[in-house]
Amino acid sequence: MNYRERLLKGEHCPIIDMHGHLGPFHAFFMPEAAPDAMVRGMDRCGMEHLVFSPHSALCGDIREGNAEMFDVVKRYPGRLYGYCTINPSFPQFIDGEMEKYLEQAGVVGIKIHPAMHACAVTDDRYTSTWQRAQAEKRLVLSHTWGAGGGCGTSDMIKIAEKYPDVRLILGHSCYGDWDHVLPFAAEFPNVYLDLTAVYHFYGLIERMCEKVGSHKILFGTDYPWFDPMVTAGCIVYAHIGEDDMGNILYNNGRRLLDEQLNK
Amino acid sequence: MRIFDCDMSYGIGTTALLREVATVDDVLAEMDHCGIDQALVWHRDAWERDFSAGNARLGELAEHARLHPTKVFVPTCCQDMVSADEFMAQLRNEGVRAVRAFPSKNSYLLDRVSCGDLLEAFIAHSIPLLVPLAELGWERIYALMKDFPKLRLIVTQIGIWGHDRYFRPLMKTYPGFCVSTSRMEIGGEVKSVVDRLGPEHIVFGSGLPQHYPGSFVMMLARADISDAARDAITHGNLERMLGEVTW
Repeated sequence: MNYRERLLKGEHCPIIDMHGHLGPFHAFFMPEAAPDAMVRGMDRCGMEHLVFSPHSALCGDIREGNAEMFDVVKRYPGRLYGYCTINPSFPQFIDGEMEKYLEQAGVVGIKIHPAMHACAVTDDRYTSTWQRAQAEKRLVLSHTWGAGGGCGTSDMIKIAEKYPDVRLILGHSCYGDWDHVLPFAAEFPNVYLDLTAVYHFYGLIERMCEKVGSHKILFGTDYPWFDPMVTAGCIVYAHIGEDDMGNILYNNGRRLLDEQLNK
Repeated sequence: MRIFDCDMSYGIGTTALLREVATVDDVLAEMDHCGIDQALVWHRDAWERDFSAGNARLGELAEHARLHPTKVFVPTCCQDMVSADEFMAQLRNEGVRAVRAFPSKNSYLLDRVSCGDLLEAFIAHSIPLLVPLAELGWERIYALMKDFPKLRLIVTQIGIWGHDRYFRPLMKTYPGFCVSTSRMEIGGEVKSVVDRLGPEHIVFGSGLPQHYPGSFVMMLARADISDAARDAITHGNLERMLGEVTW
């Protein structure tokens, strides 16, 4: 039975989602935003692991948000993994938050959102974060969008060149800038594409597999924003091979997670 | 699942897509790939070139029973559009049971002043009208439904940023108001709407070639809703609406 048939029938087909959130968000209603509802949603979708950063960390006091992240990680050990969120608008908290959480069980990386926090990835306020991630070969999920503007392809190239050991996930794959981001992701071994919010572009998954390789594409949904079965549907109905589907749904996330969990 | 897609288009347009759906055969191939049985289809010319050019291409669907044409209209105020009576006669003669509008692209207001003659005719014959959200916007949709509460309106391409607080009041108020599944994809959103309002206001629509049709096939296959609700959304609601068209 192939991936598509397994998913359609609800058979075992594990998924690892490397780009999730948690909790309500001001802009709209999300039925599965609470931790328990998220885990039930993961059960519904056969999602083995979700790596998340709560909205409370992205949109509010990161100290409260990271505490919520770690509380939920402890409530669901081995199921939910967390990103320690860094907000450069409050540089006085950055090193303390990294020190407090990055060595904790279940915390597997760092989340940054340069657009929401109005700070380019190349800004000095991010330097200590990049330096630590480089030294410790950490996973960093950055929101990315477009060609430039602080977290577009041209900005992320500078980071990848300067910090080549960072396991850099391009959240949303520099949305829309396909002609530039795909060669970039192909060139740098530790740079990964993320399907969150871009999975729907008809033909993009095939283009990513062709130009970059399925070993560099990560399953991501912003869950509880987007239904994981929508993303999964894009993958298993894309015109790609079964091996590619397996890499995107699970294998790549597994490899990255294991590297961080075995530190 | 039996699936009837309300929103598929084809044709080469101004800019290249990542994966083109250039011909009727391309549409059929993707439908087969995704297990989609039937579709309401329009030609990309109707959006990017001219509504009449797109309508003229719909004869290409004639030999395919699975594909159902949808014609695009503009207000009858200029010489490029026939009268409401003539347009209805065209629909009847050509077997067209649903229409589309792109008011922003075609530079008009979809309201009583500009389109009252056509909208009254659609209501009289129970003809569904499909409009992408970006072509109208929620404020104008609210005004349209308030002025034409019996209109059968399917809003397509609603986008991903969680529009429940916009569309649920319309679903609750107007029996003929629907949204298509593209891109109604907040986690658990379909179940949440069905639990609160029933499945009657959602119809399957993929938005091919903008989106992967299979994404919505999978979303509905795995949604935690009853089989009856699933059937209504995947095909039942649209079949019922089209079946209620009268001449």
